[in-house]
Amino acid sequence: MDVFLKKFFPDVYKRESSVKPSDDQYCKFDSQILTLFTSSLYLAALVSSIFASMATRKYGRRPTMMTSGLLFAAGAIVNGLAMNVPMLIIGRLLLGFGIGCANQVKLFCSSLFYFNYHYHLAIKCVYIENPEILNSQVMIFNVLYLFIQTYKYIVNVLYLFLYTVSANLSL
Amino acid sequence: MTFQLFITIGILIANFLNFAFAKWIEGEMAWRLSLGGAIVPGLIIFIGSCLLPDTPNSEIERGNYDRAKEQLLKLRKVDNVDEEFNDLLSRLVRKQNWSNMLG
Repeated sequence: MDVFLKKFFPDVYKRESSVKPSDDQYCKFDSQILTLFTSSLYLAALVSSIFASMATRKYGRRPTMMTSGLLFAAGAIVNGLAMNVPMLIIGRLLLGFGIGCANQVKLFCSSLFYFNYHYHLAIKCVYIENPEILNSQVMIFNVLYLFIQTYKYIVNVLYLFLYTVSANLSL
Repeated sequence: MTFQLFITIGILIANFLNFAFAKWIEGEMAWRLSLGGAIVPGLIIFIGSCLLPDTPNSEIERGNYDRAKEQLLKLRKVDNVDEEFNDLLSRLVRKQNWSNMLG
């Protein structure tokens, strides 16, 4: 992360590394170029999903899915070989176009079922997916946290047990 | 349900990979790998969709009735799919009526 910031966003890196606990910590990444880099993905996905649905109606689901895979791979290559900020943003836009086209995969999956059900499936996918991602990340965090807590608890109990045993033995 | 499960598993794997790259790989290669690693799912989607056939639904929408019937037979693994095929056709007609009304 530091190397990345130093290379492409030196201002942000300077601000991030020089911040003191007493300073205002509201937003260390307050840079329009950086936010353009992150949000260009969503903008591209928004625009391309409209055109993707048109293309799906005209040419079928399969060509759209193929283009989505190709666009996604191209975006990844451009991003991986990025030399400057415009290359990063172009790569990210390509990734976004890929995501917009890949939305049709859902349609493909759901239209394999009997047609009375497939609208329900398609709509359910969209509305449940995003809260589900947040939910599952919270859950993973909670499980890990609980795991660490129980681990500590078990170690404590074991330690107490061993301590009492060894104390009794020494008596 | 499986759909969301797989999306979430993918996000989990990506998070773990990012963590690993950030921790064990020095210098520029770390972010290049984690940004360029997206090529793997892209290629999987591309190769997978090359192997898949089109759905009967969209074949009907584009007017290829014979191919739609073929796909439906292959998909359902039964001898007679006329009933479902006719259902799909009637749905298309209904949809066209709607779009005529709206546009």
